[in-house]
Amino acid sequence: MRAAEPVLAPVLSARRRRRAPPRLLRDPSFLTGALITLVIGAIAVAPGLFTSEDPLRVDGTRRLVAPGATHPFGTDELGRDMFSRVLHGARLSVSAGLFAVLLATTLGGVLGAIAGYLGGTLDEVIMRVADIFLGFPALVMAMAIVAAMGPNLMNALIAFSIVWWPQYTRLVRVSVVMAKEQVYVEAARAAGAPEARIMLRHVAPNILSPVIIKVTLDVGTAILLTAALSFLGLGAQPPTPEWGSMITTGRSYMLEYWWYPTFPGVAIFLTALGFNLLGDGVRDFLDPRLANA
Amino acid sequence: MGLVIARRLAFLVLTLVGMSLFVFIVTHAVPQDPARLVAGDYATRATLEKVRQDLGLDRPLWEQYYLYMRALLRGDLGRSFMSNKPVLKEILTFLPATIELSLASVVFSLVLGLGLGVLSAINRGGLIDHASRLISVIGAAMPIFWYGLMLQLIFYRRLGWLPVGGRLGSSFAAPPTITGFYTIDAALTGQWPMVWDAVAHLVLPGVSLGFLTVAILARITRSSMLETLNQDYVRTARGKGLRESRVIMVHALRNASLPIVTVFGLRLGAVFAGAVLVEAVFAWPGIGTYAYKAIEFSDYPVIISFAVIASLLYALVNLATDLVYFALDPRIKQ
Amino acid sequence: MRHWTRLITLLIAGLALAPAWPAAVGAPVRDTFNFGSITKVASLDPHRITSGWDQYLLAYVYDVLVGRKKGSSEPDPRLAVSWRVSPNARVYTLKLRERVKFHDGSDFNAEAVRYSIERANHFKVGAGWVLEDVEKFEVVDPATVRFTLKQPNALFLSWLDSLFIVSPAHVRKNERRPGDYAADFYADGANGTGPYRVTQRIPGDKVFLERFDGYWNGWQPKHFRRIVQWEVGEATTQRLMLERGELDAIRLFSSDDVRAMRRSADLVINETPSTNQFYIRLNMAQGPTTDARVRKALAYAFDFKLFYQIEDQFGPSDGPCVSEFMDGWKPSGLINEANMSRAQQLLREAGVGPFRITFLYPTGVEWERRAAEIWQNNLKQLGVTVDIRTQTWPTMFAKLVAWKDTRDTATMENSYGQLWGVRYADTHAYLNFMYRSDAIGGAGRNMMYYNNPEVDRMIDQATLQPSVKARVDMYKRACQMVTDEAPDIFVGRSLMRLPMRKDVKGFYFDKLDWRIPFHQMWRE
Repeated sequence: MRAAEPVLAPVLSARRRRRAPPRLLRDPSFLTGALITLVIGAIAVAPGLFTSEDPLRVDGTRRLVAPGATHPFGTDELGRDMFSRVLHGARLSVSAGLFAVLLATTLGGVLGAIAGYLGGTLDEVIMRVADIFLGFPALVMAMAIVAAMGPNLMNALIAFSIVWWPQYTRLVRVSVVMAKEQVYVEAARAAGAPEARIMLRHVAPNILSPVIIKVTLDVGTAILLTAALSFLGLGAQPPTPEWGSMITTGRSYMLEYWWYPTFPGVAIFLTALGFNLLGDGVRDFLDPRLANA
Repeated sequence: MGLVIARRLAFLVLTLVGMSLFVFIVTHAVPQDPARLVAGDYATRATLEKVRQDLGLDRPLWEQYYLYMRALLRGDLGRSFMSNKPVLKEILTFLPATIELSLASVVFSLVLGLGLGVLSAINRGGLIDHASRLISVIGAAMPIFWYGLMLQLIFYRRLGWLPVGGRLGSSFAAPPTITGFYTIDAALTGQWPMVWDAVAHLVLPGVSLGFLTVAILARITRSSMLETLNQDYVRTARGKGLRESRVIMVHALRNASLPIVTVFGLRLGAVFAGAVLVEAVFAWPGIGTYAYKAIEFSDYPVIISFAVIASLLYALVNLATDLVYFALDPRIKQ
Repeated sequence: MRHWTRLITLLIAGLALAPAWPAAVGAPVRDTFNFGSITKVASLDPHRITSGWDQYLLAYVYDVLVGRKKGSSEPDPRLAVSWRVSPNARVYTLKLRERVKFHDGSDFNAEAVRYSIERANHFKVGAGWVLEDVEKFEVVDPATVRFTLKQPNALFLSWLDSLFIVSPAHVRKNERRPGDYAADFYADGANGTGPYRVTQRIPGDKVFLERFDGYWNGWQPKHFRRIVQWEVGEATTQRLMLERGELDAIRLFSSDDVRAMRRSADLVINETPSTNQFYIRLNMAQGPTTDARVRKALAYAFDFKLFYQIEDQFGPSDGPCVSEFMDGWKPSGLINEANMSRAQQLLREAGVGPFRITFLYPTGVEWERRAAEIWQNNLKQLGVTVDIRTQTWPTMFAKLVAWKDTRDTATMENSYGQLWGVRYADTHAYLNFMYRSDAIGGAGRNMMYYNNPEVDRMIDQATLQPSVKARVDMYKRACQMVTDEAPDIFVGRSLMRLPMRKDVKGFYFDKLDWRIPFHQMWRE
């Protein structure tokens, strides 16, 4: 049996879950993460509240203008306002990241739970198939899939889920197996509780912690992978503002027009940071042994 | 133990077959005609047909797959459509370059990642801890080509300390191929200026590639160490009056190493993927670029062979990781 | 903690000493010319290469029978010193140069020409097209050869510029299996009669060339002895290397980069109008673009001025043909300025309401994307929505060609971006591949189904005219016809640009392509 990553060690005692929630709200990591995530979420949902500029308006008279009063993030090579583009890009990039991860989590999690709980041949089969998919470089596989299906964002996300689900399967399976062997589950079984009930009440909550942590960590990675695919020309199509493709185009302007790839880069960074801190906070709360760290 | 390895090897074969089939299907789904690329812009339709026949593209899919697998069993990976050279030969040319780069990044990320992680664990809550957490988060959140570009601007353009393109400067022809690693091959043939030049060319791309692993490794090491440092046996060691550094290095780190090794093994696979981006930015002639070009041009023999080789390598890395595991902690049963 | 402090001190000391490391960034070696190529070299085989870039590199390793005079389209004697063309342009007799040696010491003669033709025909790809029309080839004597063509073709001499000559002795000696024509050796090595030898090829990385002292055309002592081609795929990296002097020249396509590099005191930007033109091709077989008024409206909606401002390597197009080959003539009625009211009027006349079209461009070609976005922006005001899509060029090409058989409305593309340049110095190289009705797939680029039998006829007739003037007259008529039908938006004609270090002298542009005349250049 392979060990799980220790940051994702499942909670072993039911007792601890009854500790009071307010501790979470006092954790600075969690608060910062939550704040950032909320702000970015707000921007993603309603970018129009934060800027009135049209992210698609081409204007030859104001090409590659440096950041200033009228254009806080400068303009791009077609004269479009970067501030507006970055804000509107939030919607696409964030939802892309979330969607990809949730897809992978659902698919992988369900398979992992089945494998872990039922064990036996089904477990073997699922894990072997997962290993096959794990045995191939994710980016290259995603490239192949996107190249075959056509370069657009939706296909890129589907490609991610195909590439990522095994990680969740492994994670969930390990958690389920470890939880299954705990004393209190044996006790519950001895007391005659039905399997389904054991699954829901005892095993399921123990999966949540590592999965939630992994999801929050992976959202940042998902956004970065979308950017990488755009780098290779296989992501969102023009003229949609998407952080990854802005960085890609922007990198050839890096030397003179530093703002072009910088602001979308910072946006990705902040989003990933927000989700990471959120995840850290949740993990620290759920596993207080590490919380003291 | 021997049974375990045998089972794993058997499974490996299954994996390779499954992977090759999957990739074969995926790549043939693209509505593309590699024959046209081989034939060139000015070829007539008759030439195109001839090329298609020569490449075996006019046969039914299952037959193409069967022929490919049959050749594979003989060790023949086919010929690249683009260059007409044997794929095995090309892979052996490009793979060492990527492995050399990956190893450089591994060394960098191990030293810095472990170092930062251990320092943070010891120094919990202090300046180093916060600084290293910040580095971790930044490392995990910025695109690889970002660091690459930043490093190029600082160390090449501004300071002129380190080179940014290729594996060697133009005053050197490539060393004779013994291992395919320029550093080693140059050293083995006694060309010390070349060794120095090769190492210099490895620094910036290696650091770019390794940065993300530094971030992840630092976090894992930190939390794993913290967990270990609280354990009874550590307290016992301290109580026995052992020097602090010995306590950390020998007892705590050794026991903390299991999850570190797991994550590290996982990261090696990711390093491979990240190599595509770093190779692009630093003009590194490695297998990532080779595979990407092949995918772009539907160079089927290359793509499938690459899939097989990559899976093989990954499986070997996994096996090695598990063996290290086993050596570190004999309590773990397969 | 003492240990860590020691470690950190060591690290800082190491970094501080770093400038003392042997110069990692090489200073230019006087007689070596380093240049950067964005594309990767596929192969060095003169009879298998399909990429123009590889051809330009090999142009100084191998020779052809007949080349082009410097800066013009006039034929220039190379391995052939003189020639006779029969009045009906069907028989070509060429007298070969004497006392020419290959890099390996073997002699050049008529047998070498015969063998090269045999080898090119064996592979059939790459330059094989040159020999498509050849009915018979004869060795008249060791210094004379004769081509007899299947039908009259006044352009044959200019096609010979793509046929490289190899040494039969060397090929046979390096065959791995009898009859494989040494394909494996020639992929990574070379043996020609040109001024440079290939000393090493590192696939995906570099190609090293070195002076061949026995070159038949002689050598200037101060000219570059050594050439290194670097395959640097990333534009920014290339530029950094040029600015530091690690590279002496690069081929760059970003006009914003060029603007910045002009300010550098160490660099000079060599520029000349090229024969490359960029078209937005519109579907002539199906969809809203089958109506000429709609096509012209779409053209009037393109903001040419803004495009030339953003991509200053482009200027106004000459239309279907390039004026250099037409005695300076350009067709009348070319649309090369935006006119939104005219566009609106045309759409009204055509009676179409708001509609949607797709535009396809090859992945990675950023300036095509920008052109599309400018176009899209204006068309929005006219109620036309443009769906910009990208695919890698091979996929795109296959898809567009395949549509010929399905004609399925669901998979139709309404437009796509086409950059077209020529391999030989004649308008035929444009018309035959862009506008001939059956030029779809293979070498053809007529993937939007332009179909005009008159134009087809004129293209065929032109190749039969030995007189340049007669040919040009026919081309004029054909080009005007095409311009009137406006099957494309003639977006622009591009410049060839080569940023170079100032201390490199002797460079000049070839009329047609991007080759760099290494053996005529030196460093001051």
